[in-house]
Amino acid sequence: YFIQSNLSLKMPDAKRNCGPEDAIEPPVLSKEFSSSDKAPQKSKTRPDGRKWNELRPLFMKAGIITKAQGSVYLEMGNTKLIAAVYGPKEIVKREEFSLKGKVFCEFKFMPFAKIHYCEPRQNFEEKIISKCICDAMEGVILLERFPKAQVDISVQVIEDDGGVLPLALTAASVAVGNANIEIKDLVVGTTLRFFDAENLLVDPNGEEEHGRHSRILGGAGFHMAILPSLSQISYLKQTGRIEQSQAKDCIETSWEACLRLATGIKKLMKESIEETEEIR
Amino acid sequence: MADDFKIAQPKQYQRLFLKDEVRPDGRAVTGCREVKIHVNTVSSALGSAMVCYGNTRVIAGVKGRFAEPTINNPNSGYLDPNVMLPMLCNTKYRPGMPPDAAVSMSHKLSVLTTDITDLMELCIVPGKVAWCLYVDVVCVNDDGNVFDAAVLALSAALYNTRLPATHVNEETQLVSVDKEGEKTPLVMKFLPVAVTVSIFDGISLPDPTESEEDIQSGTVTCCIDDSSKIRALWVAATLADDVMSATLLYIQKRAAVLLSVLKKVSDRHNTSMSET
Repeated sequence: YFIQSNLSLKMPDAKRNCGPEDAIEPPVLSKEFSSSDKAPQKSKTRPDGRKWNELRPLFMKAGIITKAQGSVYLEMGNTKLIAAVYGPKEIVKREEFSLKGKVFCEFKFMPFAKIHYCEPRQNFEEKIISKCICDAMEGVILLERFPKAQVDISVQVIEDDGGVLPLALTAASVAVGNANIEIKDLVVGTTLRFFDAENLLVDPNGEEEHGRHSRILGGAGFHMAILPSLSQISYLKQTGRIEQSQAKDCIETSWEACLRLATGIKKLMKESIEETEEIR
Repeated sequence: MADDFKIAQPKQYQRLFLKDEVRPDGRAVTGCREVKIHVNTVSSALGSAMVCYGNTRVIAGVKGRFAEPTINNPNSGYLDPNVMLPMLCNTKYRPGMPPDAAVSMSHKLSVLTTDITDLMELCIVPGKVAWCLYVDVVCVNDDGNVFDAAVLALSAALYNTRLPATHVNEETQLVSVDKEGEKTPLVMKFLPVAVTVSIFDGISLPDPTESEEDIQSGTVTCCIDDSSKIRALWVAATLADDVMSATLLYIQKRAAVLLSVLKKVSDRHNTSMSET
C-alpha cells in the first residue's frame, strides 16, 4: 500500500485547522480510454444537449452583499462565482500617493470549488489570475475620477465547472458597474476549447475543458475577454498549441460568443437597475 | 437622518428601539431572523450547504483527501473544520492572514466536532490510508452572527455528505476512488446547532445583526445537539443569574426549531426550506 507523496513544502499554519501534511488527492478509478472516443464535432450535440457554439444559461443577481458598494453573483451552467467591490475608499498605504486611483484585486477559489481540494491560502495560480483581473480592470475603470483612493475587487469562485477566468473578469466588471464606479465599458469574456479546425467548443464545461478525454485529445484552450461597445480585446490567454491560421478563427469565434454574452449581461444589468429603482 | 444618528450614537439608536420593544430591523426583542437552508448546492463537493440568517450568508463544503493515519490512532481518519471570512463579506476583513474572528470560530468548530462522527469509519486501509475530510465554511455576506450560520451549515453539509466508494487494487496496492460506485452517507453521532445571544444593557438579544454586534457588551453562545444535550457553552458576558437561565431556556427552544428545519432538508429530499 502506498500513497504518492506530496513533495511541496508547506509552511505550518497556526491560524487554521490544517489536516495532516501528507494528505493527497484520491486517485480516481476510471475506464480505459478507447480509440472510439473521438473528439467532439461541430455537427454533434454535446453531452449536455448544446450545440458547438451555444453558451450555457446565465444567471446573474447584483447587489447581494450588504456592505459592498457593488456585488454580483454569476452562474453559468454549474460554474458559480461571486464578486464584490469595495470602494473607492482611502488608500491603505499612505506612501503610495498618486493622482490616479488604484485597483486592488483578490481572486480565490473556495476550498470546495474544484474537483481537488484548494488550499485556503492563495496559491501561485490564483495570484496570477488576481493580477490579470487587476490589469484588465485598470484598463477599464476611469482611475482619474478618484485620485488618492483605491478600489478593492474580490472574486470568489464557489464552484468551478469550466470557463472560470473569463467569467471572473465579467463578474468583476459587472460588480464595478454595480458600485457606480465609472467605467469605459464592461469586460465580457468566454472560453473556447479548440481541438482542430472542424472541432471547436464554445464555453466548455468542466469535463470538456479539463476532463481526461480533453487532455488526451490535446488541442488548445482559448480564454478571451473583450470590451463589447469599444470593440477591443481586453484579455487573451491561450494554452496548448494551434497553427497561426487557426488562431484567427479562434479569435473570431470567441469574439462572436462574447458579444452574445454581452447582450445577455447588459439586459440583466438593466433589469437589476430597474428593480432597485422600483424599490426606492 | 436616521443613518447619521445611527453612525454617531449607535447605542442610543439601539436604546430608542428597545424602549418600544422592537429591534432596529423590525423584529421583536427576542425574535430571530429568517433562516434558509439549501443543501447540495456545490456539486464539486462531497457534501455542501448554504445557510442564510437574514442577510448573513455562509456556504459550507466538504472535500476529502487520502492521508496516512497517525501512529497513535492507526484506524481513524481526520475531520478538519475551518471558517473563512474573506475580504468579500465585509469591509473590515483584509486578504492574507485569517482575521481573529475566523481563527476563533475555526477553533470553536474543531472543539464542537471532536466527536461528531466515528473517525474509525473514515479509515480505508487500517494503518495506511484513511479519509481526511475538510469542512470549510466560507462566509459570503457578514451581517452578524456568522458563527450560528457556520455551525448550521457545517451540520447540514456533513449530514448530506456522501463518501464515494473506494477500491483497493490488489496488485499495485493502490487505493483509488470509484466515481461510479455507490456512495455511503456519512454517519453522524449528533447534529449540533448553535444559538448566539448578544447582551446589551442587560437585555438578551438573540441572533444579533452586525451593527448590534458592534455595540454589544457580551455574548452567550450555546451549541445544542439533536438529543437536546448541550455540546458547548461559551459565555463572554457579565449576566445576572435569572437572565442567564432565561437565556438558556430560550436557546433550547430555538435550537429545537432549527434542528427540525435541518432534519427536513436532507439529500433524500434534496429540497430547500425556509423557516422563521
